[in-house]
Amino acid sequence: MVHIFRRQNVLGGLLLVAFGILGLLLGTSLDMGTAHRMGPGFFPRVLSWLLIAIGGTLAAQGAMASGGETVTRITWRPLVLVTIAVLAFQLLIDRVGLIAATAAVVGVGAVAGRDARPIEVAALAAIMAACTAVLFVYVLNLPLPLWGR
Amino acid sequence: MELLGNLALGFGVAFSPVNLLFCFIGALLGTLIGVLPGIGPLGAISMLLPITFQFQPVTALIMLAGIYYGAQYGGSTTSILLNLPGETSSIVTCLDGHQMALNGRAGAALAVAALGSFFAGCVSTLLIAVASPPLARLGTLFRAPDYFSLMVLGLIGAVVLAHGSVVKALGMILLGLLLGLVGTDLTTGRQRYTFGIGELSDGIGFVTLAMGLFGVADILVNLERSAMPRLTAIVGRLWPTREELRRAAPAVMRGTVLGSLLGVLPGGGAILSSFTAYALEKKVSRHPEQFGKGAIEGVAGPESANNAGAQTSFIPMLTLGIPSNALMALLVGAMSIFGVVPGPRIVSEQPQLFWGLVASMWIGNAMLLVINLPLIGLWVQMLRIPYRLLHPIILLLCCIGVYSLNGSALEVGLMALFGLLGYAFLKLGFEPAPMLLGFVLGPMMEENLRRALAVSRGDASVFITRPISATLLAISALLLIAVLLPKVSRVRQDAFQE
Repeated sequence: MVHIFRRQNVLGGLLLVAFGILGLLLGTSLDMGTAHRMGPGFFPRVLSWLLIAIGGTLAAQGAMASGGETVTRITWRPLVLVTIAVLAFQLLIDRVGLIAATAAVVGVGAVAGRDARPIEVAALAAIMAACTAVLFVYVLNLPLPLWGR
Repeated sequence: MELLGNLALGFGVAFSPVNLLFCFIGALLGTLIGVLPGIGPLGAISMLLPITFQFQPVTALIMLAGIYYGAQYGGSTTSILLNLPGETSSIVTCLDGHQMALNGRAGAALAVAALGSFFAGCVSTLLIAVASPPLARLGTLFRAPDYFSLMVLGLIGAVVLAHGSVVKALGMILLGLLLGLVGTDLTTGRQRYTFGIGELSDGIGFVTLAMGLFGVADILVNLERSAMPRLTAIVGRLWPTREELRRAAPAVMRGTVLGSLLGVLPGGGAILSSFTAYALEKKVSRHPEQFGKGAIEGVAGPESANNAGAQTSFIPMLTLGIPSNALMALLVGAMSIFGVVPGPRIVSEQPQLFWGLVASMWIGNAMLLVINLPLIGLWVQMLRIPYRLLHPIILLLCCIGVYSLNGSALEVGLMALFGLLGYAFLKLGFEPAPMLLGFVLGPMMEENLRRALAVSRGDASVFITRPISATLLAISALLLIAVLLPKVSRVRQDAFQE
């Protein structure tokens, strides 16, 4: 008997319920209106309740089933490093520019894999920084700040 | 004869040097991302969207469509040689395609997949040309209640026909609908769920959501997996024997018909078509025991069906403005950024756009045949690129794609958030594609519901007194009841487990 909070359907159902509750709580100030003149709160509230109902059903099904798929182990390294890589791009693009942001996202992103090789990562980051500068800014003319704004 | 005139107009547009070039680029890129596992047409199209903004809408659409059906060609290569689906729509091709490769018939499998796809592509292009104008005329009769009911049918269809749990798919759609409402309410001007953040008042960027769910989340899941399987070499001739052709030809026909029909259905498209075609081939075969051991019908049927389905899924999008799957939802989003409103008026008011796109599909399929068969060696080389070099580049393209859309760094961070959300859902056994469909349909549904109720003075019976709307709702109800019956759901499960 596997612990029920490791089952996919139980956790997934609860996650949906959480989104439904969030939708209701954050939408309390929105006006329901009347059927004739629907307010901005009408549709979100209906959807939130449906989400709670569906999520509840899923969680209940999962809890009552005798078995069911469980969540496999989470590997934290890619999860953390890929997120850091994207956030680095977000922080650097306006302040320092495209070249630095590219090197950062490629460099950190590459380390997220388990078989990263230091020299290869450095070379890839440098090559990609040069390539994006040429391809996106000079060839495709996209409005990207090469050296920050 | 009207058809010939229209097609002539279309070929005139599609044969212009610029459109020809971008049709080729689209087909080439489609094959590339089809071959490479870990990146699909959804991710690729959302990445390339910002670049296409400098083009004419027709040129952009020609290229984006080329990526979608090109991916159906490329996906089979990886399935056959690597036993790893390049695309989700090529999963079933692994079963017999890879066995053929192990038996030394890789060349024949590749050739049959490409030829079958080409045949299916030609037939379904013709189907789009013939079926769209009458459907678009029907579409002009649609009023707000009918549109609302059509979207309900589309969403229910997506749930019933998707593989996996019905309840989970419903949850994904509802969450997508809710996320679609973030931003300023169009009618009342009220801010909803924006947390006072300026960037969110225009709503969540749909490229941001798509890249998070299909770019970043896929990388996260792929990095958890262990090493790639080994490549099977192509030995022997790159041409099927007479006997193989004789067995494959009827399978190609069946796959084409089945795929063309399933592509038009709401929720249909390439993935559903290929799964169903495999099940059908196994059922009609006189030697079902050969399936899974290298039966050529198991490659020919699904590979024709996925290409046919990919193309006919354009029909509801172009004629009614309703996307039938996540990829069409992406294209609807792209068209609205171009200022083109998908719907029944496209065929009559923008004939150049419509017929140009249709003609380009035929040209694109012809190009793909050349790209895939003689150049197969090149694509095999691409498969040797290790994923550790590929995923940082995909991640970079996601960041640049989102940033260059509005020049907003905050949206890049938002993409990371959706990446984590997508990862969580994948870990919990959800399929995130229906979420994108709901996301695009959310605002449209609310708008049509509101309009329908305003006209009927709040009387909800308008949805069942209008014949079109009533029919659509009845079909939705039947679908939903059918899938909940234990017997049907067992058959459905079997079909997807093949």
